[in-house]
Amino acid sequence: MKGQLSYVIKPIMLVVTIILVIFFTFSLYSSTIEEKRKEKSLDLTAMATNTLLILANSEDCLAYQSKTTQGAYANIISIEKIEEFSEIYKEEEPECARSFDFGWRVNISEISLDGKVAKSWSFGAKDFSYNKKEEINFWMPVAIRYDSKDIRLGKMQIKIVYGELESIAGFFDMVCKTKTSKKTEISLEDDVKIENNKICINNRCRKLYCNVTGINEIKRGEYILSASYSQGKIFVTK
Amino acid sequence: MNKKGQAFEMLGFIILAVAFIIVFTLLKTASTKGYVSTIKELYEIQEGEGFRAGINAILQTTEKRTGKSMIELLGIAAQLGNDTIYFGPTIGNINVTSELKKRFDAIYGEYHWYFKIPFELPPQKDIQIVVVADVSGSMCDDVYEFKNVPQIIDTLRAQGKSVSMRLFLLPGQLRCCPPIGIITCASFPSTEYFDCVTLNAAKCNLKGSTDEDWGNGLACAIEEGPKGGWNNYSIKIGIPLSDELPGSSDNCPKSPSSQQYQSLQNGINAAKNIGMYVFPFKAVTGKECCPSCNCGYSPGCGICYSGGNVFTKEQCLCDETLEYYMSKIANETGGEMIKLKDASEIVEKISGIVGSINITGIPYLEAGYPIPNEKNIRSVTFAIPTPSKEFLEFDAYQWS
Repeated sequence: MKGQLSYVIKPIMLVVTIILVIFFTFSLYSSTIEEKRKEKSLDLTAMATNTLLILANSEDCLAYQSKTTQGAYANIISIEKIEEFSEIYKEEEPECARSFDFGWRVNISEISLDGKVAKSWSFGAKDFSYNKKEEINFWMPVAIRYDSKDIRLGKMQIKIVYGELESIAGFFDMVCKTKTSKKTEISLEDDVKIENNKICINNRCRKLYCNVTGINEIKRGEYILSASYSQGKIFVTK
Repeated sequence: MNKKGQAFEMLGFIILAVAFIIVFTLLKTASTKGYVSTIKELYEIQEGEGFRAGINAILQTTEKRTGKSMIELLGIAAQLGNDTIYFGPTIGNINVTSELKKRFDAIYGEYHWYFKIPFELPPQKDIQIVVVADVSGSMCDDVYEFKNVPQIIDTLRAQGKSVSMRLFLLPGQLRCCPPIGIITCASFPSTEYFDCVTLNAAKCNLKGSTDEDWGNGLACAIEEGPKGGWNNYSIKIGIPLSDELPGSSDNCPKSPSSQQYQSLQNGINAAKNIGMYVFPFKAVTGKECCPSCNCGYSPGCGICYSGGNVFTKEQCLCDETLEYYMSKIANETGGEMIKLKDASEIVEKISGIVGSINITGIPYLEAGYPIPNEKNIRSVTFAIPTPSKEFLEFDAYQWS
């Protein structure tokens, strides 16, 4: 009888032990994934604020620059630059505030004193990933400068997105801008199509800074991509 | 191992497993809480930066009529101690609180913001008084009483009132009963805060009996100004002193077309233009001791005229009209008519007027909505420069 009980209990204990080990491992794994997700979300929030602040305060972006002192005024943006950016950067982010991890589009509205939108402009990425992993919308008041005695109230809103399209396009743009060679590990849920300086996933496309050679399609799956810059182009291999 | 031993072995294992799960859960919860709290803090920092930049943008916007930025207008308002700034006849008044409210409402929406800025400690506000004295014969004792005024001005200043006075005598010769004799500006001591000037009839465009034309005289005194000129931010007080209508009491007219009324109106307009409070001093007319105004040359009424006590029927009959005139100018300028029972009351009445002036304004400019207790409140403090190169703290709050 004694032997029979031991014979039953020991396998049960083994099963319970295995279940506990699986539970701990799974908990740890899911906790890490959750933390990474939150980290990305925080990155995105920080990125949204920083991008708006850069756009509004950098002379290379929209900040009004005094012709006499050559200094920029905090959060006063120039109407000439707004019009120039909305004309030039209809489909891509301006280089002065480009992120290689995320994609964004900005909408600037001039607000009348009764709270209505009097005028609006926009620039930045035309398309975003179909399967967005993260998306944040953020806004900040700005002062739109027409001239020294006419500075009007405005709102600058940003939509910032993290997804496969932004991530892979960011990698290619970084290689192009830094003119170096780099490697990255990517995991794709959808096929990627590349044609010269255009990259598309699920018919959502982005314009790249350089033309891409060596590859025109990457099937879904996990890869280590290598990219190297040469004479205004980047050469990509899997 | 017996059955009991095996049961204990199993129980022990279960207790160990439960303990593991509890410890693991606690550690994981603590770790997640810490992480969430860090994320929250960082998120709040980011939002705070965005809010600071936003408030800065609002303050940089310009007001349409003046072309001045809101930060500039705030600085001026804080220095003036008044949220309404007058920019001259073309632009008019700009209410800074209202302008900022429109902008904050447009950006953050109603019921989601509040701001406050203390006014710059107001410099001690000057009280500048001009007195326009009728120098017709019956005013002798009243005008002579001003010899005591320099001393009372000094007393008031010692009590903390930054008061000064200029006495304007209308042109004429004030011959008084002995031992006073003739009164001129030289009859009064001149001090740092009190002096006397005689108005020029032609220059001041005085009408009728120029020694009594206190309406046009007041307008002229306002133009001449007090010793050292008008201070933009002072409290201005005008005191016409007379027992007759401006320019003469003939027929006691109340018609707006009359010379007397027009003189009064000129005085009212000038006072209103400069923001002056007028406190007319109505000297005794004789009506007080002779209600019928039919007392001949009654010495009992005690009005000194040209060296003797004389009752003047004409000014007695116009007593009511004089009250009407003096009440009108007082009412239209925010002052008050003072009916003197005796010349000796003058000093007391001047002290009373100066003493009643409250020079403390509102301590700060604020606008917005009550800050809720349960909400997550973002706040930011800005340094606002004033025209006197001081910096004042502007506190803004915003919530969702």
